[in-house]
Amino acid sequence: MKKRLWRDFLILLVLFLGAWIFFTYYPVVDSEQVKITFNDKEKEIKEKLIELFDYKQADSDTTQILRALGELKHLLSEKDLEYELFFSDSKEINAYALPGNMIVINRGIIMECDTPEELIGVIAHEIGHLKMKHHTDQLLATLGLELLLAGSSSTAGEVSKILTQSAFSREMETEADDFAIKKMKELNISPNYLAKLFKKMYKKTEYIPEFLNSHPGINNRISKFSSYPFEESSLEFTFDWLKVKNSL
Amino acid sequence: MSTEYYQIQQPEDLPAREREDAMGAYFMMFASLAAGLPLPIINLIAAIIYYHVNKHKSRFVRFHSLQSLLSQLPVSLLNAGLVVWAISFFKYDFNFDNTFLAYLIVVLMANLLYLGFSIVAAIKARKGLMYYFIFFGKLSYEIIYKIKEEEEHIYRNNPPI
Ligand SMILES: [Zn+2]
Repeated sequence: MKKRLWRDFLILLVLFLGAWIFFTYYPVVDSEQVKITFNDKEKEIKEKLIELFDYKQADSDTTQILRALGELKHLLSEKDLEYELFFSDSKEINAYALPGNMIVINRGIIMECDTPEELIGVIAHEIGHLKMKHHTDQLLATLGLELLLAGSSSTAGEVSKILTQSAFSREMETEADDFAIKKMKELNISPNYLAKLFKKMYKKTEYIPEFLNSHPGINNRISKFSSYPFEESSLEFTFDWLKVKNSL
Repeated sequence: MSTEYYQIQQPEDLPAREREDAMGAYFMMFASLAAGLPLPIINLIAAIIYYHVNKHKSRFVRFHSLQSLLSQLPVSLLNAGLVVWAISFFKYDFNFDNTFLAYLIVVLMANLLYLGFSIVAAIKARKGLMYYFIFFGKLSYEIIYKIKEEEEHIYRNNPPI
């Protein structure tokens, strides 16, 4: 009896491993195929997000803010990264880097910026996230699922919750900050501009926006950006920042 | 010394109540398997409880409960493995490959087989019949029907008739 038990057990084991190995080498569904379908989803998700939150693409000539953002985007263009910049009419003081190389700037954070240089720092930080590919596909998957499951107003709340809660790690934030510093220096903008913005935001933190999130320690970040002496930037813009802000 | 086994009950010796309890063991396992899908702990606990509840019933009921319990163990483990593996994608990256997809297929097949055989076993149990799964059937029979040494001793110490 014991022998037969062992024999049965071995049969089961061999069947299991055999089937596993068989399907690994003769796949019913090829994993590459699945991945391709998955990448197509990225586009779909992007379109759905734009529709859901009514993101407005920078560069279009329709409003002052979109023109201004378009100008900043050109200033911050990267050779090896094609990204799209969007404006979101949300009062929340936040900006996001989203999968699919999207950067979304909320009205809330624009109102906090006293100068376009501060906003350039914010955008540069978000570009840093995109450039270093900080987005795990996790966010994409969660977003995709949420967007596909339902299509109504209840989704908007859920999705924005996912967006605001998706925090990057301490290392990622540091990398994005370092990228922003590098980028600002290239444009002859003192990184101290970002320190100014951070300090203003720090005073009103009822909540912590993505790029001021608590991981790397807000104070550390402020002192990092403050360590650069403040110099008035000599960049010229075709728009009047105050007028742009007043138009919102 | 040859091992001895308790006699297997025949359908006509089994009251409807016992046959239903035996059948229930399989249906209970499906339910708990579905409920405990993400975490196999839930269904394992349910299975063990059911087995214990039936501990004092006839060997026929105990056999079916145990066979159902034992056969769902590997299925639960495979499902748990699938969940852990899938979660690792969310944590890190979606670099799943054919090895994972093959595992997914095999686990699905294992679940279907388990489901199919359990349904057959449940129907047989309702009719008062034994039904042996590969491996688990023999193992359950061995555990439930084998006469253990100590039990034999107690048995031999019966008062004179
Ligand atoms: Zn950030």
